[in-house]
Amino acid sequence: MPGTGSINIPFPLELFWLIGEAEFTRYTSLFYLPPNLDVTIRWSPKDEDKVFLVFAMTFGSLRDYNTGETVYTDEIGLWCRGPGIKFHWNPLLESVSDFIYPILTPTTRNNPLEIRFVNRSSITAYMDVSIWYFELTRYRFESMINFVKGFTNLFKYLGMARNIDEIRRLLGLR
Amino acid sequence: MSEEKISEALKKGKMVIIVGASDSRINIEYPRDKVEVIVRS
Repeated sequence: MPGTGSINIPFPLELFWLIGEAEFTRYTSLFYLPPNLDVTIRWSPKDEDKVFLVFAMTFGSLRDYNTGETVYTDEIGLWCRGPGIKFHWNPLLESVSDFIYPILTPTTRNNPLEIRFVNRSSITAYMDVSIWYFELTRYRFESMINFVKGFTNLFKYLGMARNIDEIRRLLGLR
Repeated sequence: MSEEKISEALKKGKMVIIVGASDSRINIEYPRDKVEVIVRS
């Protein structure tokens, strides 16, 4: 079964959703891939003031257009890159298409998610792809990044303390 | 109707993307000579 399992939402995103700073949504499309295909698309918010914080991608089964049968092949796949994501190849094999694909990237109009579809096989195939993300304004996104930095810095300083008295002092408990 | 459009585009060697009508907040840039986008109403 493709993409079996739950999708883990990173903690800062959950928090921002809980306090109403971010809205969860999902994008799903069907892609039909003819042979000899090499096409790059760029996916981003239409609004320049928005950030789409992508936290997962899920792929449906790749199917033969003529027979409807599920296909696993490394001759069909997609290259992917985005802010903070290195350009990498995703062949549509079981370890990719039957797995929830963890990803974390803040896409904006100027820094889109780039997906290059390749079909080197002789068959026409189709598949569905979902992109799971939170929608935030740029201002709220920057607030979230500051929150995460503050959170990690707090524990970094606590980790540097030599004893409980120093931790008390750092937390202002004296 | 969509099936005919899909079949026609594939015969021309074009990739087809079926998007939902509610996806208006998304911007997709693509080469128009290689991709056909069909909005599912």
